[in-house]
Amino acid sequence: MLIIRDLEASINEKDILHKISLQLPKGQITALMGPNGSGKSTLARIIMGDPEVQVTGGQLLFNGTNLLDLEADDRARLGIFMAFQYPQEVAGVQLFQFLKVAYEARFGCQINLIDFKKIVSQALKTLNLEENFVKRPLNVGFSGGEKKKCEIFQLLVLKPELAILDETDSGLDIDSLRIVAEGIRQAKETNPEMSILVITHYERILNYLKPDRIIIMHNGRILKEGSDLLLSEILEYGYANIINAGN
Amino acid sequence: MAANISKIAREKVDQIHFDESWRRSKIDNFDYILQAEETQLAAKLYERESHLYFNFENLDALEASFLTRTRNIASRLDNLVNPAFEMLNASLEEETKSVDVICDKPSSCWINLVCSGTVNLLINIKVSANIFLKLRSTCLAGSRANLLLLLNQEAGAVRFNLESLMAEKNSEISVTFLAVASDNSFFDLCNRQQHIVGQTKSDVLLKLILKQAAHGVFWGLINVEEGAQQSDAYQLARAMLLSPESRADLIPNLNIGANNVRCTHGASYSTLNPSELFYLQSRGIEKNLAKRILTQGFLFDAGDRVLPEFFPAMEEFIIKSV
Ligand SMILES: Nc1ncnc2c1ncn2[C@@H]1O[C@H](COP(=O)(O)OP(=O)(O)OP(=O)(O)O)[C@@H](O)[C@H]1O
Ligand SMILES: [Mg+2]
Repeated sequence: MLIIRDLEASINEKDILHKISLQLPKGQITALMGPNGSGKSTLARIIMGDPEVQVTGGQLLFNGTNLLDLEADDRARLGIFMAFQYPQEVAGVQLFQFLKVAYEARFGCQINLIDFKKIVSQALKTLNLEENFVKRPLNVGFSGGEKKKCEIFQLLVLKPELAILDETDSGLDIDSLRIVAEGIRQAKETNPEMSILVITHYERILNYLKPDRIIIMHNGRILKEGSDLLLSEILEYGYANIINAGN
Repeated sequence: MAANISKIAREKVDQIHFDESWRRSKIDNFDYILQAEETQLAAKLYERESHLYFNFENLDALEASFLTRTRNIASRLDNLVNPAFEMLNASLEEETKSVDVICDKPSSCWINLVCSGTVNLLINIKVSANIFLKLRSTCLAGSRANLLLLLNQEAGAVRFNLESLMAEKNSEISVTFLAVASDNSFFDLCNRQQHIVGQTKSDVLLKLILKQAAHGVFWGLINVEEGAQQSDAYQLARAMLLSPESRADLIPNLNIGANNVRCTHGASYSTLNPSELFYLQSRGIEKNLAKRILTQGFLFDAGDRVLPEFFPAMEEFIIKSV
């Protein structure tokens, strides 16, 4: 589904990513881990099309389409979705109205209010959120956990083909994490072809989502790829072992 | 009855306001006379009832320069269109709540509002010529005023003198001013919150959007007179610049003559935030639409200050002008 080849990127002239190559196949769940500052979010933002990150080399293909020529909104309409590590607050823009515009853009059609309300209510219920949650301005004054839930709420409504979850689990309490993971699983069940990239520091969400493989990043490079065993190694010894072995 | 009041009021108002000092002041001098007596006189005229009156003056020509419509009292206001110094009294009964003003010829307009009890007023102004506007709200004891001013300017220079006169104790006013200026227009708001007595509260917010080569100026003064203890005054001007050619100068001031007061003021300039734009685009919303949503959001953000009954008018204004 997504092919990343020798990707190089910088922010404000500072090189951040070095020759990243990675494939995210249809229907697979990939976990991306690595120490703080290793470039995980930067990679996610590149896939989504954040103009703040400059791609200086390499390729990025989504179902054969060159993403590097496209703006973020084009990519979203192709079915790429990113749950932000730090969701942006947008004053004066109501969540419900924003999401209706996004929905219509994503699926290229008008939807009447009643039908859309149904979709919204369903998603809210899945995440155990109140109806009036959507009447609030987008992320403004949301608690940390509410912001993360709101990202997954949008995912449920916009039904992406490729979902990137950037530390969606951070800041969620135990019950919320279970509810959110359940929501993600449900989305995957409805669309088994959906590919998911989970960026995380913790095993808990991975216990729920059961990734097909685990990828470790460090210093803007992909260091190692592996299975559950890799996860137990990290949990026991931290990243030091892997990093030392890699160097 | 109305005509009668109108006649008396006109004489008084001519006497009070249309003297040389005011004529001079309307050119560029903001220091017009603010006297408690004057206020009380105006209040007496109406036996301390809330009222609103307009004085129109066409500087360049005598023909119609203002089209004014008040929903519900349209007929009375239609008489206004003609000569200079024409005036209207509209007692602020429950239904008299919103006024549309269309200014398409060079002119000046004085709007005088006396607040007693609860006053909720919406003034929707569309400007395409050089005009001078002045709105004075005189707040009497026990009054609670909530004003929403909407101004869309496509051309010319606008000088708007906005004056909240806290004349008697236990009065409150909240003014929300949303303005959108485009092309080569020049918008200049002079805000004055005059606390003549204490235990009064004034709160003024300007949100100004500047498109193309529009230039906006805000000069504001909170003036707490000597001994006006427990005055509570708040003034904030926020400008959003939508093009590199647009410009804003925001200058809030405080002048405080009492020691037990709470006064806050501020000003901020902003442009569209790239992170917000990326967030909207990342959900599939096309760039230009995303920009429009964010710009509208800048104004909608003032929505919680606006009375529910004025919300539809505000929404219509924002959608049409942004
Ligand atoms: N706007 C920026 N200007 C300068 N450097 C930046 C900017 N954004 C990110 N970086 C740098 O890029 C590197 C990678 O950051 P990134 O956010 O991708 O890390 P991460 O792996 O997501 O970390 P974390 O686990 O803490 O979220 C860091 O060294 C960071 O300081
Ligand atoms: Mg990160």
